[in-house]
Amino acid sequence: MDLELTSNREGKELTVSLNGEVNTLTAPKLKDLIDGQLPDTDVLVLDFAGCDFVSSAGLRVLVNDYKILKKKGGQMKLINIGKNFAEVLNITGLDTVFGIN
Amino acid sequence: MDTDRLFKENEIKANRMMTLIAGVTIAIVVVTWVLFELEFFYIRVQFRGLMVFSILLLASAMCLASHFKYEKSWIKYSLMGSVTIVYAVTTSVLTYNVVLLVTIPIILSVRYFNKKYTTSIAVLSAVVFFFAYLFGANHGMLDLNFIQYAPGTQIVTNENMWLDDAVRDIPYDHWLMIKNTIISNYFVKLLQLIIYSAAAVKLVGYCQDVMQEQKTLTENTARIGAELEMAERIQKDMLPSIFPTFSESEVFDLYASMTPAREVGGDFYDFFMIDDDHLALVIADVSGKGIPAAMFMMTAKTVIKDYALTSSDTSEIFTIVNDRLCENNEAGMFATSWIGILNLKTLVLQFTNAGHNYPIIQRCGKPCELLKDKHGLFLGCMEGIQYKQSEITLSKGDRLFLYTDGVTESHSSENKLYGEERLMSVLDDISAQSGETVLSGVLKDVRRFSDGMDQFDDITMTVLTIK
Amino acid sequence: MKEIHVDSKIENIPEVMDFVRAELEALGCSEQVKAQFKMAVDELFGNICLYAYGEGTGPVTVSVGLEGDPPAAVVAFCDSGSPYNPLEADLPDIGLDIEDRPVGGLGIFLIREMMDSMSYEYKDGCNVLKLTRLNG
Repeated sequence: MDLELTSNREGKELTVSLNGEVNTLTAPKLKDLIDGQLPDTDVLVLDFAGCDFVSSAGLRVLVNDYKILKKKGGQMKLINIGKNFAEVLNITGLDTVFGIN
Repeated sequence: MDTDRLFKENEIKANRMMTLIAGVTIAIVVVTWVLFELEFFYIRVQFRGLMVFSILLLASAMCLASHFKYEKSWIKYSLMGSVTIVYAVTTSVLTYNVVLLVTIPIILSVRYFNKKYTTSIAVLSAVVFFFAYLFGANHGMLDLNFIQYAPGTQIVTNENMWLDDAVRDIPYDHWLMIKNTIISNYFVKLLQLIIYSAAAVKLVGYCQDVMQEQKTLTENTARIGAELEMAERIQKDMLPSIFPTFSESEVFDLYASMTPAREVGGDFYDFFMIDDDHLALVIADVSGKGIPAAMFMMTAKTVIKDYALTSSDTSEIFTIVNDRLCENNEAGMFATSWIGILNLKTLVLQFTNAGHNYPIIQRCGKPCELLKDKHGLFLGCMEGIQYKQSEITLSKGDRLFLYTDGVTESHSSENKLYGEERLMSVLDDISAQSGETVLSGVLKDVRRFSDGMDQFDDITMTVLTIK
Repeated sequence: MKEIHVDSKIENIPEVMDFVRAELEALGCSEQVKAQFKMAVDELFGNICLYAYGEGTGPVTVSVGLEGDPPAAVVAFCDSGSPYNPLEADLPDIGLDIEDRPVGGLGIFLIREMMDSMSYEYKDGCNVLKLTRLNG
């Protein structure tokens, strides 16, 4: 299953909506999109309404972006999280690290 | 020095082999003799005396070798010398029928992995076989190719006569026969012998190198094995084991144990007093096995203790420890860990969980339950994260049980998992006060459950009881 | 035990995922178990693609079945590459910047937590990695 990304920028806030799955094959796509936008972004919102599968490759992208944002005082929010992804975040303990709505 | 020993040992083995070859040669001589007496084949030369000589020579060399336990350095020469002489004697009788015998001593000498020895045997062969050909030219089987007659000489045979006898009855020039044999037969063999010898010496050199290399390899393997064992011991010694330190405490009873799996793993427990009123408890499970896991374990344990002695906030300790473990963690190692600090005055237990199994808490006289705090990210994953601290208050008779997944993930032969539920029900049934009894009870049950199965993971447990 | 034979290319991950999912479905596994195995396939098949045959590719067999009593779902990966335990090496980040530190152990940690047991052995020239999960 592929991953479709739609991004929407309001000033320094970037919202990326994910549709599909983030796995080993699609994670680079997410990484490329966010990496390009990160220099102008203080708040990164990731909308998982259309995506409930994030593999470890996807988690690594999130962790790296989180680290970059945090270093420059920005923040990352994950919204509309589904059951499976929530379980993954809970097991790893990453839910205590990321901002989750 | 050691290499000399290696080759000495090899020489003894080679001597044993040569003794066997001498024995086999005796057997062949005896069989030939018997067949000859049965007139199975025909040899013109009267060679019974030579047979007796050969057997005695070989037998004496064998006796000497065995008498001196194959150890003396001259044994290799006496054995090979007697074998060579016997082959030369055979060659002088059977001449062109046994050309291959010339090469056998050289081939056998290769077994000694000794260049000097193989060279000496080559020279010995050249000399001894020279005399064999010299003698054999006229006394052994006549090689008709080298006999020269006056033109027009007629050879007359009848049906009972061998060509050899018919030829021998006609006068011929014996000196010319010797000359022909030496030049056209021995000399050609000598050239071949040189090629054989060169090849054999080269091969011996190669074998020597291989033996030396193999010896180095064996030594290295043995050294690594010994070092691994040492690493395991160091790792085990790092875990506190002097329990009487705390036995005088009126507040609590503490016991911990680790049963390592076959391969060095990365489990550890730790406990120590931060000051007079604060007891720290740690349990952790490092990913992977072997030396990398053991090294990461040692770093983790040291760092945790270092920071626990300077800070009393468990979340702060793990936050710093995690940053330290993330530095240069190129190998991607990680550890799940749980730390708790018990205030002995107030009995408040503050704790932080970094991805570790939930501890089990057994309130006085009540059934066990999981101490389900919200656990944070495991240690070593990413730096800069903030851990959270939880707290509970313990009271008299409460028991806290910490463990690694080596306990709950033990397998039965039907591929079932031990699991938390069985662990909790076993703990419910053990009413003993002493921590040692509790842990040995659990370990016994795990063993019963996984009867006959290999212990795959370290089994590490700590139990704290409030008195 | 049903098997699928594929080349060790990351493009084949979806094919393996679909196969594993369909087989687990046929075995009556819960949605949660299917999702967890999907995660494991992504990580471990990805590891095999990257490491088992060095720079090249080679055949991989993935099998799905039930074992034991009560029956547990078992997914096994088998490749004939160099001896290598995917449980001990984490997938490196794709296109990681030099100043970024690698994120350690996430994939392996997740699988360790989600599965009931994992085993690795090198047998008859093959790396065999077996994951077991009770149908909870």
